[in-house]
Amino acid sequence: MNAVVGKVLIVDDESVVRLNLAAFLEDEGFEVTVIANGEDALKMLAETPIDVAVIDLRLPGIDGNGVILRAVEIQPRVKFLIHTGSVNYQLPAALRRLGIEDEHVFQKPIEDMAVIVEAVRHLMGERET
Amino acid sequence: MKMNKKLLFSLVGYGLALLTVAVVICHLAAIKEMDATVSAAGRQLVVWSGGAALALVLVLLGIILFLTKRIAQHERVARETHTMQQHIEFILGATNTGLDIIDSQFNVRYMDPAWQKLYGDPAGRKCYEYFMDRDEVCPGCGVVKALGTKSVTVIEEVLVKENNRPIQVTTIPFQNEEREWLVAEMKADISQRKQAEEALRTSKERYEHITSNIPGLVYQFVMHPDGSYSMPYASAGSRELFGLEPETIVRDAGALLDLIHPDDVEVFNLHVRESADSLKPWRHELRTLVDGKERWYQGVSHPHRQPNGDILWDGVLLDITERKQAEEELRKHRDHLEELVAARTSDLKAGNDELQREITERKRVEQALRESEKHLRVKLDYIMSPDEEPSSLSLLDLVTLEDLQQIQDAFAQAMGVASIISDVEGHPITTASNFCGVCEIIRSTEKGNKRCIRSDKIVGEKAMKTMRPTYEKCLSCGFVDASAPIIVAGKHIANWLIGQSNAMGVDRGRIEKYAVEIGADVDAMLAAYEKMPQMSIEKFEQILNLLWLLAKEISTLGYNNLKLTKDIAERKQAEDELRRLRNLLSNIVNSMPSVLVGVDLQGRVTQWNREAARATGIAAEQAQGRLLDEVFPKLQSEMEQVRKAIRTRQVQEDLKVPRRVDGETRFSDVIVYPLLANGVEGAVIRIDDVTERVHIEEMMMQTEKMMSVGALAAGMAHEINNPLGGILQGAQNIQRRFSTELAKNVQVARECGTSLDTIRAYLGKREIQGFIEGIRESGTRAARIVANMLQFSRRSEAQVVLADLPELVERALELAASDYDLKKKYDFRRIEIVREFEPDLPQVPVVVTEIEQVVLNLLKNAAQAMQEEQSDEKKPHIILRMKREGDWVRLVVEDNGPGMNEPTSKRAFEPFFTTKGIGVGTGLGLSVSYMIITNNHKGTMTLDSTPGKGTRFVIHLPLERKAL
Repeated sequence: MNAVVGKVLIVDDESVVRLNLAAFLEDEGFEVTVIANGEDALKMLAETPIDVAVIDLRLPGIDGNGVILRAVEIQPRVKFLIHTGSVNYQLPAALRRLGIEDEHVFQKPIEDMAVIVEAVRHLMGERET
Repeated sequence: MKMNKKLLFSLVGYGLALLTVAVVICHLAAIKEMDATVSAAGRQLVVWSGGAALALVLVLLGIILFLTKRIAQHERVARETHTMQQHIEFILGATNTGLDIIDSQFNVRYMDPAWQKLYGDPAGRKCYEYFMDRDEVCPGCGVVKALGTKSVTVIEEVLVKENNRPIQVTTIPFQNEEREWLVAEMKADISQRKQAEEALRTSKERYEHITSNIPGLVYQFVMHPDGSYSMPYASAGSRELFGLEPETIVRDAGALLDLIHPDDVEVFNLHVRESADSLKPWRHELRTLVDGKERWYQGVSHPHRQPNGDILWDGVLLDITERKQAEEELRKHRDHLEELVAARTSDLKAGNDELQREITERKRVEQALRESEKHLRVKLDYIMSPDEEPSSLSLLDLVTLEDLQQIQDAFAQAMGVASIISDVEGHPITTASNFCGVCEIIRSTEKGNKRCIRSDKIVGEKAMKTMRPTYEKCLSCGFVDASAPIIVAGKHIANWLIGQSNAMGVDRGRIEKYAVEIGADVDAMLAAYEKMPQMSIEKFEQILNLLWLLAKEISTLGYNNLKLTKDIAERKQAEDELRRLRNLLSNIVNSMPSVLVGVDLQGRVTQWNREAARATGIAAEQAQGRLLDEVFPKLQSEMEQVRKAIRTRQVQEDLKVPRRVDGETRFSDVIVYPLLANGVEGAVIRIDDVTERVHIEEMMMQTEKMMSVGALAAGMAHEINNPLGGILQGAQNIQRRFSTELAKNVQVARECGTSLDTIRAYLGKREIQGFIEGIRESGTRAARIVANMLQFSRRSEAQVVLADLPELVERALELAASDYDLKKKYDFRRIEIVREFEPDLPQVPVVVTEIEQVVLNLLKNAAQAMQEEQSDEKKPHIILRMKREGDWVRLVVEDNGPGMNEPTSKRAFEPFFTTKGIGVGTGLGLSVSYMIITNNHKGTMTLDSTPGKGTRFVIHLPLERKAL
C-alpha cells in the first residue's frame, strides 16, 4: 500500500469533487493530480505521463469529450473514466472507438467511491497486459 | 414607387438638357474669346469640338425624347392597371369574393379594399393570424400546398371572424417579376351552396324517414315506349310486403311483377295501359301467388308522361289480404246461412213466411249498408282528392233521401204545386209529390218520360245560368215549370223543380196532340187536364221565391254536412299524427341512456323513462302520479332544485354528485330543466352516470402532476447531484480517515502527537460516528429521490425489447428477497409466493429494467405492508398472476395484507404520498411505477384494495409495440 500503484488525473471544475476523489484514491495508494479545467489538463499531459484520467464532462472551456479526444493524441496509452452529473449523457461514437464503454461512465453522485477505485484498478490491469 | 420613377426620369431629362445648353454656351463663348488670340489651328480644334458638342446635344435630345415617350407609356400602363384594379375590386366587392396575395412566409402582400374594411390593414400580419385568428399555420393550409405543388388548389374553410361563414379558397401560385413565388387567393362565399346542400340532405332524410314509416310499399313504376316495365324506386316496405330488398326490385322489376297471380296479369297490364293512355290515376286491387299462397294488394298511383316517352307512376301499395279474407269469410258465412235457410224454406215453405220476411229485411239492411259504405267511400274520395270529377258528388251523399222527401212532400202539399228533386241531368232523385194526372200519364210513357227529364234538365240549367227565380214552359205541354239549383261547395249537384201549373193557359188541343205524339190515352189525358188546379202566375212566382229560399237552405245543409265529414276526417288524421308523434317521442325518451323523470310543482311524477324504471325497479305505470320521494328517494334532495328551476326558469345543475352503490362510489350529473307547457309548470330531472368520465379526469390529472414533477426534476437534477456528491463522498472520506485499517491514519495521528485510538474513543463518546452515518444516509436518500423523480421525465435511451414476462418477474422476486435479506427489516422468506402464470404467454415489448423496477416496487410494498401487520392467524402471501387478454397481457400482484382505506387508495399513485414512516419510503415508488406503465409503456395500472383483506394491483401491458 505504500508503493505507488499508478498515476491518476482528476479533471473536475467542482473543488469538493476533486478533493474527495483525490483523498479516497490517495488513501488507496494512487498518485493523484487534480486539475480544474481541460486546457490545463492537456498542458499537464504533455509533460507528465498518466495511467488513468477521471474526466468530468461539463467543464469551462473545452468539454470533457474534447479533452479525451485531444489527450489520446498526446498520450495514446492513457485510459479514461467519465464522471458526469448529466442525467441523459450518451457516449459519443468517437469515444466508443477509443474503447470507452458504458461501464466507464459514472453518474454523479457516486455513493460509494470504492466502485471508482475498482474501475481504476481494472483499467490499470488492462494497461499492463 | 411609380411616381418616384417618373420624377426621376424627368429630373434626369431636365438635367441633361441644361447640361447640353451649358456646354453649347460655353463653347460659343470660348470661340468668341479665342478669335483674337488663338491660331487658326487652335480655332479649328475649337470649331471641331463645337461640332462634337452639337452632335452630343442631338443625341441627348433623342434620349430625352425617348425617355419622355417611355414615361408617357409608363403612365398609360399605370393608369390602365389602376382602372383594371378598380374594376376587379368592384367585381370582387359585388360578388363578396376576396382577393389576396400571400408570400411563402405567409405575409399578406395584398388584400382587396372591401375585405380590408372588414379585417383591417394586413400589413405586418401573417395570413393565418389575419384571417383566422390563429397563432400558427392552419392545418391543410392551401398556401403551403399550392407552393409545394406549384399548382392551383381549392379548399373549403370557415371564417371564424364572420360567424363561421363558409368560403371556397382557390389558391393560384405564380412568380412575380423578381422570380419570387407567391400565391393569389380567391375567397368565394359558399354559404348559399352549403345551405342548399344542407337543405337537400335534410329533405332527403325526411323523405327517407317518411317512406320507411309508411305501412306499405312506396314506389315508382315506369312503362317504357316499347311496353316494358321497370321500377326506379322502391321503399323499404318491400321487405315486409314481399320479402324483397328494394335494391332487388330496382335492379329487376320482374322480381316483383313475376309474383302477380297468373290470373290477374292480363287485367293488370290492361289497367296499366289504360292509366297510361288516359293519364288518370291507377287504382287497382291485385293478387300475388307465392308458394301457392294468395295475397291481396291495393295500389294507388298517379301517372306522369316523361319527356322521353316513358310513363312514370308514383304510388303506394298496401297489403289488404286480411281485409279480403274477412270479406270472404263474411260472404261464405252468409252464403252458408242462406243455404241453410233456403233448405229449411223448401221443407217448411208454408209456415215460414216470417223467416222469409226476415231474410228479405236482412238483405235490405245489407244492401243499405253496402250502399251507405259506397256513399261514404265516394264522399271520402271526393274529400281526399278534390280534383276528381264533380259529378261524383251527389246530393244523397250529403242529405238523406228521407229528409229530402219529407221536405219536398210537405212543401208540395202546402203550396199546391207538383214538385220533384232531380240531378243535373234531370233524372229524379226523389219520388214525385203532388203530380197532376196529365203529367203522371206522360211520365208513364217512355217517350213522354224522356221528354220530361230533358225539360227538367233544361229548366234547371237555365235557373243555374240566370241564378234568379224564373219560370219556363215545359217541353211537353207548355205548363209553367221552375227550378231552384242546389249548389254545394260551388258545384251544381241537383235541381228542385216545381210546376205543372197551367198558369199560362194551355189549350186542350195541345194536350190532345201531345197525347197522340207520345202514344198515351187521349181521353184519359183530357180528363186529367180538366181536373188540373188553376193558379195565377203571381201566386206561382211567390211559391217559386220560397222554393229558392228552401233550396238555398238545403244547399247550406249539404255544405255543412260536407264540411263536417271533412272535419271528422281531418281530425282523425290529426289524431293519428298526434299518436304517432307521441309514440315517437316516448321511444326517443325511452332510448336515452339517461334517467329522465318529469315532475310537477308538487313533486308528482309526470314522466318516467325506461332508464328511470331500470334504476328504481319501478315501472312507468306505477310511478306515474306518485310523489318523487316515494318512488325515487335519492332524488328527494333535488326537489329544491326543481322548485328553483321552475321559479327562475333556468337549468339547474348538480355535477359529479357522489353516491355509494354496492360499496363503490359512483358519480352522477343531475340536471334539472324547467318545463313550461300549456301553463302546467314542472321540470325534467336528468341523471347521467359520469363515473367513468370522472375516473378518466382523475387519471389525467394524476399523469399531468407527475409529468410536471419530472420536468422539474430533470431541470434541477444536475445542480443537486454535484453537491450531493460532495456530501456523500465527504462523509465517506471522513469515516475512512478515522478507520484503523489505513496505516496512514495511524501514522498521521502519531505525527500529530495523539493516537488514532484516542481520537476514535473521543468520536465514540461524542457519537460523532453516528452523525456522519446520518449525513451519509440522508445524502443517499436525497440522491434516490432525485433519481426517482427523473423517472417521470422520459429518458430517450431506454431500450424496448421483447421480453419473457415470467422470467422478468422471477428476477424481480430474487431482487426483492436479497433486498430484504440485506436490510434485515423484514423476512421475505416468511411470505408465501403463489405463481399463477398462464402457459405459453407471448413475449411483451418492454424496457426490462423499468418493468423489473415496477414489479420489485410492488413486491416491496406488499412485504412492508404485511410486515407491519404481523399476526399469527394469517399466513402472509403474495399471488402473482399473468395471462393474456386480447392484445394485452394482464399482470396481477395481490397480497393479503392490511389493505388500504379509500382515501389512501385514492391517493396511492400521487407523488410524495406515503403511509410509511419517515425515512422508510420516498413516496415516489408507486407514482414512478404508474408513470412507467401508463406513460412509458402505454399500459394501464389500477389498484383495488379492501381494508383488512389485502391489496391487488392490476397492470395491463400492450402486446403491440405502440409508440413506446
